[in-house]
Amino acid sequence: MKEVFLSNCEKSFIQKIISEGHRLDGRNYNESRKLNITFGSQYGSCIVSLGETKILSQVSCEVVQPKQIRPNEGILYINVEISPMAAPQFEANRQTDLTVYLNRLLEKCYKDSKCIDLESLCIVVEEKVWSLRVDIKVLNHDGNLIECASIATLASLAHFKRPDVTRSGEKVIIHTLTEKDPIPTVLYHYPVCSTFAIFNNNILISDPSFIEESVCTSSISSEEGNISGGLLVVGMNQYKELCLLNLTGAAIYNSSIVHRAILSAADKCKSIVDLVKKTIISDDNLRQKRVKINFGDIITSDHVQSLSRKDLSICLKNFDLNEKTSPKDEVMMDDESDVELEPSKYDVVPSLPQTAEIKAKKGASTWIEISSDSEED
Amino acid sequence: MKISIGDVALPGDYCEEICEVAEKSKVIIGPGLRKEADRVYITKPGVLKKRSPCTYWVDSYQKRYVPSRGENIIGVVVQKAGDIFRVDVGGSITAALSYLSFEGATKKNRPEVQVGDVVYAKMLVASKDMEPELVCVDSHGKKGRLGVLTDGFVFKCSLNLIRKILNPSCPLLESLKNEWPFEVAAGMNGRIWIKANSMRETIAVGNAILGAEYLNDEEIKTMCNNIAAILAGHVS
Repeated sequence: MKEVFLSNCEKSFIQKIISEGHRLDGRNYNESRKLNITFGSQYGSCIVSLGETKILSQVSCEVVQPKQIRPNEGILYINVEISPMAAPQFEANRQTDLTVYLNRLLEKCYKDSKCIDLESLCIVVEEKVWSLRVDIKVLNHDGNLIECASIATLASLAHFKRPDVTRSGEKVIIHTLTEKDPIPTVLYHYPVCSTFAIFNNNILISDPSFIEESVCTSSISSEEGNISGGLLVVGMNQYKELCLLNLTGAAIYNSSIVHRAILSAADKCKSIVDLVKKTIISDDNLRQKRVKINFGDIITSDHVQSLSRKDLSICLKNFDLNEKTSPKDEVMMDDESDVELEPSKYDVVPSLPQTAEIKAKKGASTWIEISSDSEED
Repeated sequence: MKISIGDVALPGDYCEEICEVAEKSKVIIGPGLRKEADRVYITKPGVLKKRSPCTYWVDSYQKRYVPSRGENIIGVVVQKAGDIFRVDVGGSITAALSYLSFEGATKKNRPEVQVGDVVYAKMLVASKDMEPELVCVDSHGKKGRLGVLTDGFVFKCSLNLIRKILNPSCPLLESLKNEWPFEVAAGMNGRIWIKANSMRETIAVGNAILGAEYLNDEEIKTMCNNIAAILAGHVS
C-alpha cells in the first residue's frame, strides 16, 4: 500500500483548528455526517453512505457442514475488501493492515457479541447448517470506515432473508423464494460501532473524516511531546450495552475520555439502530407492494448531479446555516450532559431481558459507574 | 456520433469540423482529442471547446494530475534521497526536485527543506517515460514566488476548479481580496495552499474556493458576500 502523505502544514493546521474549537468541515465536535442507507434489489444488499464514505454490503448464504465443536450452530463469515476504487493508495486484491483490522473489529462486534441466533441457522445437526457470508466492499474512503462498515453489516444482516427449508426424513428441500416466503435472520440485539478521534488527550471528535483520522493517529503530531491522540472505537447496541472497545494510537491517561465517549456513543448508536430499523420496515412495506427497489434509486432520486456536492470538505461552521452556537457553549453542554445522563444508566441496566450473556454486560456497565465515581472522588 | 464545438462529447465520438479546418491550416488538438486515421476522435468525456484560430480540446472533469511541462504545481516533499528531494505531486509517480534548483543554493549552501514541507514549484521535465522534474527557480535563477510554503493549509480539489479560479475573468479571487487579507497559491495539479491571519479566515477562503466549483459568476459574488458576512458576524 502506498502511504498517504500528509504535509506538516496540514497536520499542524488541523491540530490548531481543533484546539480552537472548529472542525474543517464546519461540524461540531459531536456531530456526525449525513447517514444514508439504501437497499438493493436482493435481500441483504445495501449501500451505506456516511458523508462521502460509501460502503456496499452483501449477505449471501449457503449450506455447509458445521464445525465439529459447534454441531448445531450456523456460521457467520465476514469479509472486507478495499479496492483502489475506495482511494488511490490501495492496491487491488491485496490484504492490508486496514482490511485485517476492519475484519477483526466487525467480527468482534457481530460474532463475538452473539447478536445473531446462530442456532436458528441449523438444518440437520452435525450435517447441514446455513453459513452466512457478509461481503463488505468499500466504494469510497473518506474516513470512519469502521462506523460505516458496521452500519452496513448490521443493515444487510437485518435485511437479509434466507430461503425456507423443509425436512422429510433424510431429505432436505430448500424452497425457492417464490415457493415459500423466505425467513429473516434472528437478531437478539443490534450492535453498532462508532468512532471517536482523540485530540490533545481531551478533545473527542465523533465521526472523523479521513484527514482528521490520519492527523490524530500520526505519531509526529507536533514538536511538543505531550500532544498525542488516537482513534477510539465504541461498539454499542440499542440497549446501550457495550459490545466492543478498541483503541489505536497513543494510550489514554485520562479515564474520563472513555467515559465521555461511551455516553455519547450510547445515544448515537440508539439513533442509528432506530434509523436502520425504520428503513428496513419501510423497505419491507415497499416490497410487499411489489415496488421494484434497486441501487438505481440512489442515482435517480438523490444524486442527480453526483458531482455537485452539497457538503464541502472545508466549510465554515455557519455556512448557509442560521443558528449560531459558539464552540465554548458546545463544550459546556457536553459536560452537563455527562452529568445528567449518569442516572439514566441505572435505569437501563435492570430493565434488560435476563439472559446469561446480557448479565455479563451488566458487569461491563457497572464498570462505567465505578469509574465515574472514582473520578468524582 | 458526429458532434460539433460546444457539445457534450463522449469517448468514441468524432468531430468533422476539425478535419475540415485542418485541410486549410494547421490545427492544434489538445487533451481528450486524438487523430486516428482520417478522423479526430474524442477520448475523454466532457465539453468540446475551441479557441480561435484553431486550437481544440475537451474540457473534462478530472482529479488525477498528468504532469505537463511549464505548469506551476504544489507538492509535498516525501523523501530526501541524496541530492534530490522526492515530491508527491498527485501524479502516478513522485517528481524529483534537485536541492540545487533553489535560489542561491550551492553545494555548500543547501536549502532548508524538510520531509513533509509543501513546495510551490514549476514542472521542468514532464515526459511519458521519465520521472518528472521540478525546479523552484526561473531561468534567471530567481525564485519569484516559487519555493517552500510555510504555515497555512493545503487541500485538494478537481483540476477544473484550479483552471476556473486561475481564469482572469473569474470573479472569485477579485471579490474575496476586498473582504479580508489572505494568501493563496494554486497548483495546476489540483492542490491549493491558503493562508490567512486567523484559522477561521483560512477556512473561509477554502470554503469560498470549494464552493465556487459549480457556481456561475453572479452566484460566486453573492457567495463571497455571504461568507464575508458570516466571518464578520463572528469576529466582531
